[in-house]
Amino acid sequence: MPIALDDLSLKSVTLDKLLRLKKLRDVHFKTRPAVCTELPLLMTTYMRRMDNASDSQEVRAAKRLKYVLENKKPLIQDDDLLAGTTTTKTKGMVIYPQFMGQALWPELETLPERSKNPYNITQAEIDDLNFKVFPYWMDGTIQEVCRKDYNNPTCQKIMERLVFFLGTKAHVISHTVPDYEVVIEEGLDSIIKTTTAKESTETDHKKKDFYKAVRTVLEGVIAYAQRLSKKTAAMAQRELDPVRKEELMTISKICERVPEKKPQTFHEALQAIWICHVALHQENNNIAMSLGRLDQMLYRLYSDDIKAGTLTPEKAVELVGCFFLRLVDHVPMSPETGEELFGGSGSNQAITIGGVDQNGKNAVNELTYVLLRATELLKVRDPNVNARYCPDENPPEYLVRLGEVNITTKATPCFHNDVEVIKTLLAQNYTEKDARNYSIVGCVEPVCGGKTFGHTGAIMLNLTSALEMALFQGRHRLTEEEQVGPKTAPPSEMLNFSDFLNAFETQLIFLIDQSVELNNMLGKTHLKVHPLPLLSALTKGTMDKGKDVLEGGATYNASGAAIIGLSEVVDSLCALKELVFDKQETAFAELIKAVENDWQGYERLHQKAIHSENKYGAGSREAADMTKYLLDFLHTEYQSRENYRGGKYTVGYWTMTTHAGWGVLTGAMPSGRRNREVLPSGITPVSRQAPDLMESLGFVANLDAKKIANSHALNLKYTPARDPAHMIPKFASSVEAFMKMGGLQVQFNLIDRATLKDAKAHPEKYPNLLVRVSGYTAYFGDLNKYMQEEIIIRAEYDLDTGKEVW
Amino acid sequence: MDWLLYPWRKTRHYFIKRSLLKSLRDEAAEEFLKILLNFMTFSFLIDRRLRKNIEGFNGLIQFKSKDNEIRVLAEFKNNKLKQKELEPNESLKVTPNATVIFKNAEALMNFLLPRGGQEGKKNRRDILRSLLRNEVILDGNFNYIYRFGYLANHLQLQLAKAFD
Repeated sequence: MPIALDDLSLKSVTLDKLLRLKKLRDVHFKTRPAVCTELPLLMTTYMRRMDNASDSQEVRAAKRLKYVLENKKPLIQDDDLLAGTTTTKTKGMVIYPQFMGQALWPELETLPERSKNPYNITQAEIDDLNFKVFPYWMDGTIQEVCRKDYNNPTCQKIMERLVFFLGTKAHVISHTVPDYEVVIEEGLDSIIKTTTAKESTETDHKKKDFYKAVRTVLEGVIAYAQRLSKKTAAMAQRELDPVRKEELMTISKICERVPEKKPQTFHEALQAIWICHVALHQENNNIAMSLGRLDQMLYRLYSDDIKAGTLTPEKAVELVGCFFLRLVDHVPMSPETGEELFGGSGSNQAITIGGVDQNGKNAVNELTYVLLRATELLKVRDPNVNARYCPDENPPEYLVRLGEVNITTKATPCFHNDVEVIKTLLAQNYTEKDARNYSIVGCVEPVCGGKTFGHTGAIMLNLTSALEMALFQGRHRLTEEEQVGPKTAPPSEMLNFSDFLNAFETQLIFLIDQSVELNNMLGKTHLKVHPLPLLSALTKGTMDKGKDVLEGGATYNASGAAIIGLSEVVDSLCALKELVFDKQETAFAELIKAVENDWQGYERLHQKAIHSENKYGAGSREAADMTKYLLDFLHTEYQSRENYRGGKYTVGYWTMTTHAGWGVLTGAMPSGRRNREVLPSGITPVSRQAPDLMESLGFVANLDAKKIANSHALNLKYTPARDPAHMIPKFASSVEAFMKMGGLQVQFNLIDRATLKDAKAHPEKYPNLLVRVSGYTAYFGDLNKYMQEEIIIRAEYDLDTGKEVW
Repeated sequence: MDWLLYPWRKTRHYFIKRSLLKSLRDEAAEEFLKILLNFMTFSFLIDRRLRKNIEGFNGLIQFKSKDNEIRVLAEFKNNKLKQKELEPNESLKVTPNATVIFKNAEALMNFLLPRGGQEGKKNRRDILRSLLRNEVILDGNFNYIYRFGYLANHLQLQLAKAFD
């Protein structure tokens, strides 16, 4: 895979030369998102007037989506090189009435005045949603059908108390990577031919309907592309500028061909993926629908075009830039409080670059560097760029370049260690080739793109709740006297630490069971209410099995749980063991009183808890053993449970912004933590508890990655050096060292605390400051105050000294 | 003959509106729920555009305090809202579509019309926020609460405009 670039950084390619990108980027940053009612109106109109209840659910869903795609407005933004938009707005919030769109109902009239992340909406749109859309779906959302079908189950009630765990399936199942390779290598007509043949010979009615549904939705996608072609052709006819006229004619011809036919050029391939992505977002929530290994999928066409002289690296950066700026044309729906748990998130569409190929050889190519240059120039929050790095296979200059881009953007891309991720996937029964071909979903989760249906964000479990319930015999301070979990022993009856661990395990198993039960119920309900024929068409395995992805049609099936609060719970368990049982500094009942009183009146004990040597991320054997115990326990328990598609549950440690939201709801803890402090992000140590960088990296790197199959987010902050050239080698060395020690994933903010504090106080001085949250990138100003504070206090290390800076 | 009642309803509506504002200002929250529902009832009667919001909407929402001392049913039927106070142990003939269980009257007030709400744009009411803080518990179909939330918010904004 020879790289012909003279300069891997492509420094000569700038926004000043790519004025189109500069303009489109400006439009992105200057445009306030607006609610778009196109999709819910089309869906509701179809359901009211055209739906045929005698069709199977799969066929009904397919016909509905086809109607949406046939009637969706064909649009292209001024100057853009890619046609098609997720919504009718420049930056649109998509409302999905079958998911949880109604959560926005109460605040429809006040959306533009929200203090954080306001949205534009017109009175006509308010009326459409209030009178036409939302009333129709009141009993038809996945959340409510599940409640009705399962008789208001306890697991759903517990979830709706919001502090124990979240089951996200009622809102979003699209944490996955569709099979865009088939779009590029074969075109949709190839899938249509396959399904038509299967439909004609299949005798099983259910399977026959599935094939019919797939064919129907693909015809809808092609119809949308054809309408884009006609629209751009009409625009070209009216266009006076000859350059733009020619561009529009080219786009029109491209849309006439793809995604129906196999793309012949790099431009065609990007357009084909984009049209399919838009179509998928009419079926699936616009959260974490990820794109896979773009530098691998697109390389053949890139290389052919370069050889033919029809493409230059500069032109490729422009096309990729247009593609990235399409990915930010939509934002996920979030009610105001949703901002506390998931605030500031973009659509979290991951792309994956670099790493090794299916034969285990270096896969970094020229297009990898093109994608990195587009990332560096645009500094937009989507896509979430994930760099795979294989220490002994990928060239050192690639790592250096990743360091450069991190320093320039301050927050991206993040790093995944191929060696450990591949081992982890092999342990989940992936074939070697598929494991090597992994790509990232959403935040950090590895899957085999196009083959895995993993809903990697199915469950978010608040681990501190299990600890809390063990301390208070199955109750939680937030839900007060309610007996949520089993009534375990009171402190007075606990004679040793094992007694407490038994109680903790009882509560944790209870929460795991509840979270799994709910996820399985929601999964079955999703299939009943809203099957996914288009996502199924773009997932391998479904054609052979004749099954929707929701029924287990994919080659690989799994569901993902993300655990929040690991380091806090490790520190608390260690403190409790040390202070109550090992050193007997205090009685258990006294410690409980101390945390109930937020340590007021227990200052001496508080100091001992805070200054214990047994802290996560530092050199403590005790903390390392405790972490290993928790990882083993969670992995074993979740893996032993089966999801509704016959797959296993995988466990990961990434938190989005839930660690900030849940932290605010969590009381003081035995670790010394005070009431309402934010929890640490991802798998990251608590701030100021792991002062040495290498010790901290080593602590996390030594964790058994095979027990972290849904991956983790290790969030670190490095103090930026005045001279980036001075910093790059040290930065690269620290990543290399982490990976050689066995680290799985790491990501950075290269911004110092003073700058972040200033950005919080004076947001107008830092428009569009990109930061890494816990998995994804976001604009600092969009984050809620708790999340901003967490990033400010997050451990910051000076690479010159290797010590935490405070 | 309904129009004959209009002047009386309009006058009644005015006085209820004053009561509602007073209960918000004075934090006389115990009476707040009854007054709010009264206000809604009369608003639907006199305002045709507002009434459009509940056309075809049949739903039963129960509001009750955690100690079960306050129990009020809001029934949307035949394009009207009716309210009924229940005894603490009175059994229901029909299961409500949704039940709002509030910790105390102040929590309910924050849930439906937040402090400063009558001033319009401050302290938005946000159903999820109240859930998150455990001030209220919802049981049943959330969409009925969301719909009720829209109506409450809409009336609150109208009140704010009227007294700007």
